Amino acid sequence: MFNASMPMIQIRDLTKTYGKTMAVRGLTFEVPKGQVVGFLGPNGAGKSTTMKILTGYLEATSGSAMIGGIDVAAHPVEARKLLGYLPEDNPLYDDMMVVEYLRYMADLRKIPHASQAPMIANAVRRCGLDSVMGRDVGALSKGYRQRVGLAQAILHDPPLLILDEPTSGLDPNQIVEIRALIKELGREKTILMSTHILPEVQTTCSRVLIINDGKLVADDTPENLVMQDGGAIRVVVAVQGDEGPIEVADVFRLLESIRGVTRVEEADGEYDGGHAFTLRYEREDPRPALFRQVSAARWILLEMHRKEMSLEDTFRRLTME
Amino acid sequence: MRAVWSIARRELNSYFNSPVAYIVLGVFLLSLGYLFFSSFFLAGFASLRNMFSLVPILFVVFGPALTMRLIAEERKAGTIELLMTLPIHDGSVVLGKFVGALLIAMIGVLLTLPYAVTVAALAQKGVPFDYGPVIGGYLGLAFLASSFLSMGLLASALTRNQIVAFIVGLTLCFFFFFVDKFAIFFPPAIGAVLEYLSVDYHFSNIARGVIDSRDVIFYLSLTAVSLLITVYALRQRQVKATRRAFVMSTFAVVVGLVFVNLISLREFVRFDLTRDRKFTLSQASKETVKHLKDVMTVSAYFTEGLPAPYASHTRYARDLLEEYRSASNGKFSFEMIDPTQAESAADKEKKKEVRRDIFGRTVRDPTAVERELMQLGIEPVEIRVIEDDQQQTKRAYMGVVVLFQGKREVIPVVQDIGNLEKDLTGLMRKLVRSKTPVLGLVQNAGPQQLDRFKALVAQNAQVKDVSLAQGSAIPSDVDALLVVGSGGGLDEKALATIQQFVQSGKNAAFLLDRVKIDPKTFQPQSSNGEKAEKVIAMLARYGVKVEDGLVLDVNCASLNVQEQRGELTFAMPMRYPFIPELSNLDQNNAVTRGVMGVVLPFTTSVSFKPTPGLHGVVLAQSSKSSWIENAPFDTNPRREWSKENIKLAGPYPLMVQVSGKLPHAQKESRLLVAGASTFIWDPFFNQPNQALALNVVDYLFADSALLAMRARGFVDVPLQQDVKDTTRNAVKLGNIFGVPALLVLYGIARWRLREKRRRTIGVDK
Repeated sequence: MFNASMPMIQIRDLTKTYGKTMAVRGLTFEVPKGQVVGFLGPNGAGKSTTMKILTGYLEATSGSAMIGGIDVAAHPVEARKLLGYLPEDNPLYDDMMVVEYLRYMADLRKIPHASQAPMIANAVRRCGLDSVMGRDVGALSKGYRQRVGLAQAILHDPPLLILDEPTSGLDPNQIVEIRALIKELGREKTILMSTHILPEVQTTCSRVLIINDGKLVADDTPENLVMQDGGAIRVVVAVQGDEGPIEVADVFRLLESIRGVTRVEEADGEYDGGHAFTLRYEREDPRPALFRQVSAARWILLEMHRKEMSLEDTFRRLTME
Repeated sequence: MRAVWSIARRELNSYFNSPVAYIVLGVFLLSLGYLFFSSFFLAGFASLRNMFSLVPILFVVFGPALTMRLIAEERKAGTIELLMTLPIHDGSVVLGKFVGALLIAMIGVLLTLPYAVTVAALAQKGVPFDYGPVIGGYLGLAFLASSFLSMGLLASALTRNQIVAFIVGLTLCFFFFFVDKFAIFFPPAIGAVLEYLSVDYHFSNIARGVIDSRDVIFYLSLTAVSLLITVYALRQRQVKATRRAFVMSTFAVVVGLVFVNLISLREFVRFDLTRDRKFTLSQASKETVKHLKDVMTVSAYFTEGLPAPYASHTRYARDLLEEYRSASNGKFSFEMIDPTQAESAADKEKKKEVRRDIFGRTVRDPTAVERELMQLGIEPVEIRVIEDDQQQTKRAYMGVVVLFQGKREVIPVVQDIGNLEKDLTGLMRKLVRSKTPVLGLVQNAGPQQLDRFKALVAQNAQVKDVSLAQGSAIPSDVDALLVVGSGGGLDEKALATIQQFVQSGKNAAFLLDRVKIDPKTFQPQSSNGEKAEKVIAMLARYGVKVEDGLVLDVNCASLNVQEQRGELTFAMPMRYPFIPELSNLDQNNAVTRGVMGVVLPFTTSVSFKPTPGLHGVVLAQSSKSSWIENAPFDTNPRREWSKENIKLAGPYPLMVQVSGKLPHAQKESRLLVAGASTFIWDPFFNQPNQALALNVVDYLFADSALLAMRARGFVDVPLQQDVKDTTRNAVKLGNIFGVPALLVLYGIARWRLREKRRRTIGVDK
């Protein structure tokens, strides 16, 4: 059934409606083997719904979802064998010991008894669960719970991992640990993970999918996504009149006249009575010219710095429309 | 399959690792133990029937309590998403949960095994305890539990709220438990369907000790449908196409199962687990209906809605007739008629017109139905019932009419349901037989007054006087021979004729008067011992020894003796040991069954000496307080017994039956020998003696197949009489609290072991 030459995930014209609301509207994308894909979008954009359809938990209203060439609707059991899944909020059986829980999952995954012990040991080692094996799942800290969830997902060494917000609700230290674990796993597995934390994507993912309102709005590497917005660097400048207030239009005119500047936008934020602007530019650093011009106009230069653009801005721009 | 078992095992562990199992099972056992044992010694029967009737209603509550969390909890915790994205089928998930719940329920049920053990141990000694209904009861509970638990599981799949799941499950179980109780409000056709839908009705069938495919198929169907809907409900599908496909397939399955159930009503198998195979038609009955040459119609008039145990009698009668029908060649048909259903409006009015006679007793005119039944020969019985919160006597009918070729036989009242089959088959054979049987009566040595006896027998058979004088033969149409008298008048030729008769496989009874007594004066006229030597010698070859002395018994009838007191003459009843009165007759034997208070005047002892090839049974014997007197006899009723030195050396056998192949015989035959013929004489022919005489004649006529049919014991085994108070309390407390206590101890042990294991797991890693 599993066809190694097929893309790990293939989603075509996927739609899903809940009553009258449309959660996913004609989504189409593919994930080839070995990619670590960040799945981004605001709450309610359809990320979890898409993942739930992929894992076979929900049925699609129309369109198809395939894992390794296997249609999840037609052959759910076969398709599910290929994936490890960490659902949103990481539900676990709180009344079981960690060891019991993992054994139960190994049983349900139909891992032969002989290979259960080494496979569980492997997952436990990778997720750092050794010290809590005898504890009840319900008594674990949030970080350990997340590791148990991950251990469950990688227990059977699946080629594909689907992780729905694996770092949500963790403290910064735990986030770093889990992120490192995912990065390590990404070396050998295909991973589709949804997240709200954009820097996480920049550090762990080789590809970003952004969906908004059930539609795909961006699909590229994190770097390209940022570059698409016309360069990654901006200059932020704030000026103030020396003798009384100055007209914003005057400042615009002055800034736009500087060589290399391609676009001027008014920036947000308070600048002590002055006006702030963001400048985009090409090639030449506009700062020396800027300084001279402002001096010449006898304005006071309150602030001037370079700012590196992030995925966050792209995300905001793509999803705020 | 592996996934099913994994899930079932997890559920089991999860129950027993948390207090849930201990609370649910503990409360179940406490309530069941209390309800059962509080009235156990009062009822006085070593039977688990009451327990098995309590468990279903308890299951209505405890079933949903066990299942409510199974899926609802997963839904609430979100783990359902985990479970349903594993590479296992939804069906495995549902089945696993179901098996887990069923195992827990069965653990709870099997924890009542100590009840069964104590009950069996307390049964009266010598009476075998029937384990059939116990095994049937437990099996029935497994089926009942599976249907209730599948419905509870379905309820649990519908919601994330356990309380809602419990209430929905309770409602479902409640419906299928009580549905037949509302049947009376509906027309019979709908009522029958409602009854069929009731899990309780099917359970009570199995709990009798009969595994019937009809009941099993019903339970399996109900469970299958519930589980199927559960599989669907598990995944709350949002896609219309899937939903429609499911509704269609479920509909198809339900229709299919309805058909399977309908077919199963016609084609069924039953496994009778009871010790006597109570619910299985005996070979003789099967043979009888199988070879019917013409249509036989049986109408059974049983009043419905009677209290226990009569209600089960109706069902037993119906099942029995059903068995007859399925064993027949299509010539047997029956109808069950409830006389109260047949009443017209006018009849109902008539029933209300109750008058009182001058003694204050209530009387009313018979209704048309009652008159009709009276004409048929069906007699009403008065049964105590509770109606309108009052104890009343209700007129009920439990009679059977058998029609064959225009002839009619009637069982006016089914006295003992255990003998219904035997009585029915007997009547059928009577109707089917080609000719009226002929009893040949050989009277010798004195004209005994047998007019009443002859008249009684003539009702069902022909009585033919047979004279064996001068070597005359026995007429060929004589089916059985009754030899009455001293036997002294029978010469060698006559005896040879008799011998030939019995050797040919026909049956004979010898009522031998060793002492000839005048029935008016009670004076022994002569002893005809010597003359009867030849008969005695013949019987001795058949293993029967006839003694000379008369048996006298302290348990005896009274004689009215004239006493002169001055001018007046009194009739004084005086106890007269020459007339032993027999109160304890073998109730399992065809001849003496149902007979009490027989008197055997002036009888000698008759015993059976083991003889190869022959089987002897003592039918009647004197009491322990009896003795033997030899001639000359002092038969004076005024004898002063107190002045005599009497050694009570009883009991003495007074009547024996011998069956088997007699010497030189080709076929098996039966003989009956009594130490006196007086009990069929007119002066002594009271009601019990009439019954005994009729039984003797029936015994002589009956074919061996019919005689082999044993009466079925439907009465529960009584408890031992002398159970000490300490034992009673130990049984009660031990069972009510002991079992739950053991459960709690197990829980504690399990918890400690688990904690220990938890620590070792933490350490070595």
